[in-house]
Amino acid sequence: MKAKKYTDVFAQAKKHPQYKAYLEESKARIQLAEALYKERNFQSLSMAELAKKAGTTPAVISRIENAQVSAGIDLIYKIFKALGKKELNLMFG
Amino acid sequence: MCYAFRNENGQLEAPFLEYLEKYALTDRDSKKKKTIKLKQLANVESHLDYLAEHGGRYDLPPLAEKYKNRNFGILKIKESARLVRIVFFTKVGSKIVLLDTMDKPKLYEKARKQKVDRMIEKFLDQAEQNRQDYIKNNLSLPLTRSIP
Repeated sequence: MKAKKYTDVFAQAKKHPQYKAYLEESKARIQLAEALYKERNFQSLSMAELAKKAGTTPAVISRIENAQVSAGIDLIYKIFKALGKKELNLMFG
Repeated sequence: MCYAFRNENGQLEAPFLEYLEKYALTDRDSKKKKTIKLKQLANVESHLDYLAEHGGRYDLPPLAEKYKNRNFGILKIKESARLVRIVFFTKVGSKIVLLDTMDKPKLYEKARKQKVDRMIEKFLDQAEQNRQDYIKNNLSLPLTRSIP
């Protein structure tokens, strides 16, 4: 059966030297989003409550949970402290 | 895989692949434009991978969920406050079928709300129609040539 011709955009992008790095950054944002969302809900905290504890705004929490921004390590640390975490575990795989 | 239908030329056409065409790199793209396209495409790919890793589940908040009263899920890919992509998908057996995509416009100036709501409703109806069409005709195209 004939199919309309489409560009294989992912294959095309993979040839670009920077694409792998962009992909890894994006995956890291999703990992952080998932971890933060789960923990905040586990603790029954609203975005506003967590933001107040961490000294930031609900909009920032929302953007992180939606994997929309790359949060800096200082902000991540403040948020995890606000969630009562004593240390930040980093895993290099 | 991507839901497909037969167009007026008898070719298989997939709305999701049609949407992705805007990320195809061209010789006319400036270096900046290429970087933007690549970053946005990486964001799309990582979200699709995330959905696939979780077997196309509908309960992956806040990124994926079942749409209120509809029989399909939505995957939210936020790029910025101004650009939120909504990918409509369904699960048939073990297959994740990408039905369609829309760029949700930033409202919510009151004057535009009604117009935007109508537009969203139209996309939702189309996604539902695509889902039913897929179940009936079982036509699809692979997301990429390398990963069926």
